Amino acid sequence: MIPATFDYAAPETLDEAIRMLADGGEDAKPLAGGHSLIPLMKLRLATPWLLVDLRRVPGIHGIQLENGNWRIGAMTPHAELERARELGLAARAAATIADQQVRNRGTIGGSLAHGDPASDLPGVLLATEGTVTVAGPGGQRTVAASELFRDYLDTSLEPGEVLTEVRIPTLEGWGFAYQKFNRRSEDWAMVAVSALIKQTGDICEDARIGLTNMGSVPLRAKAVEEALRGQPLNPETIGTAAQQADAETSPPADLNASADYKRHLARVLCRRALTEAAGL
Amino acid sequence: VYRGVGFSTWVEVCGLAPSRAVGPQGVGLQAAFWESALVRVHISGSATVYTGTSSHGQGTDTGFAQIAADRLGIDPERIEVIHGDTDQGPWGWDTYGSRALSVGGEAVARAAEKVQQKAKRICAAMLEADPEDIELADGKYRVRGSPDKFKTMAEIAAAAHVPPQDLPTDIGLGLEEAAAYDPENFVFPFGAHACVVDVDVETGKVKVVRYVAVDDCGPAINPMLIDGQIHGGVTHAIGQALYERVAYDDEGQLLTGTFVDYALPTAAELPSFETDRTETPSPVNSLGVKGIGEAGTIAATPAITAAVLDALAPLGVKWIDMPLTPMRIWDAIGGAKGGVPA
Repeated sequence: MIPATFDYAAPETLDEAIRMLADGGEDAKPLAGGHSLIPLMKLRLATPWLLVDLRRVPGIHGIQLENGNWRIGAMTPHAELERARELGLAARAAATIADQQVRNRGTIGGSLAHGDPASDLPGVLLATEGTVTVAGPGGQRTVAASELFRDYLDTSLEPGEVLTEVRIPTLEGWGFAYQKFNRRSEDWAMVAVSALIKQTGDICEDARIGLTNMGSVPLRAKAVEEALRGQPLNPETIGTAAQQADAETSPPADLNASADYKRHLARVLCRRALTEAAGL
Repeated sequence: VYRGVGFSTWVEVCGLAPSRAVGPQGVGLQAAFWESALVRVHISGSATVYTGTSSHGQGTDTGFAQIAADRLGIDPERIEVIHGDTDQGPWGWDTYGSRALSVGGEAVARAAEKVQQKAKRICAAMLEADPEDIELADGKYRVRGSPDKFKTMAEIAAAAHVPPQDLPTDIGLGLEEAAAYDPENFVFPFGAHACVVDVDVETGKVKVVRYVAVDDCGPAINPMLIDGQIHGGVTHAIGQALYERVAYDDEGQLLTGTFVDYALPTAAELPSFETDRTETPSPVNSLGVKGIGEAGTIAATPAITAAVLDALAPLGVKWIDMPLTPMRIWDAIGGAKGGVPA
């Protein structure tokens, strides 16, 4: 429970933070809310030599609406997402993260950069087809959600890069739901399903489904999405489509859930999320 | 979602223990099970109570201060309770088995009674009355029938430490007494608990909807502390029934070494408990008390388990090993005849 020795810096500008992180290479880590990295350090699963705290960096906190996109600063804590109900799915999912104390500290940027497939926001970013803005020594780039998550706790962020902003399309007119299953409210999701549905009358124009903790990265339930497109939305079509929620997934078994049980949960939660998102 | 109701009734053998029943001459344990107390009233009229039991969060020291305060005729705030320090206190046998109040508390009561008797003799000498005529009422040691003739404990304590010339020497100086108490018999607290649970039979998740506990630990010294013991006990019994498990992998590596993996229930998983009491005094000790520390953990585990099995009875489920985790419940439903399809 005691981390290895490390240095700490809290630079005043983004450029300075990037320079420190670039100089430190693999041994330097940016620190946001500290609710993923610090526990890993205490377990000595992570042993960075330098933590670059982003809390003093200006301009990477807060929520703005711009051209049909929500621009969310990386240092925006989950509690602020939770209160911004107009965010829709992201607000709904953020409200389920751990407990109030964690939501007050943990940030959207930290959660996405950590790349834990059991965390709530990666699946949301994937389902909403959002993007992240990344700043590094070579300038700024935009990374799509589908390109961000590479493997378990592994993202396409390079050493020296800082995730500065998250962009999520407003998806006006879409129905949404977040179904999360865990043993205790403060636990990580055993499985969770993000559902977004665009419908005209009862016909499904489009559906997007994100799966949390059903593999080493967050996943889309493509088979379910395809099965629903152009179809009427009713309990039968949703129930049938949701049976494919675990297609092409490889959920890891853990202490409280076998892979088969997780697959079953994914199907049940997918059906419930779609039913709720379709307003049925 | 299936709803189930579960009950349990319980009786516990508490007040450990009559040494002659449990010790070398009884069942043969090489120990004794009495308890001790020392009550010291200082010259200021404040007091220190030493106990051989140990309060580790139950609030025993609050209860012991109340017991001593009633018998000394002073405010509980003027009493400090010292416990868990063998360097300072008298010999004791510690806290376990819901014994602290019914054995240790009785020792405190007896020591405080002895101090009260001495205080009455001092008071009688100060008021030129018969010790038999001194009564303790409303925090005053007063002459029966003459309520305006009284002394407070502060005045009596001062006289005990700085005696007036005419104080009979056979009373002795200072104002402190010790007592050891070895119970004549066990005490038997009892109770009945009932609960309602909802089981999501698709996922196996259990929600405790309502929990009602009625317990009898004898006359309540401190109702809030009794509720606290019940709340904590029921919480951890729900943990045992639904959440808590020690697991190892095939190589013997502990998998539940942190509270992330070793799941304790939190307030978010629990309903507001409804508690009530009956008060049937035990004839064994002067306080009539019987112990409450283990009531919740005894009663709630079977009540919750029975409620879940009641909910699943229509599906043919008859048995699930604790803890009743969602996956175990899902497995049991799938394995039972008439189980719902996945």
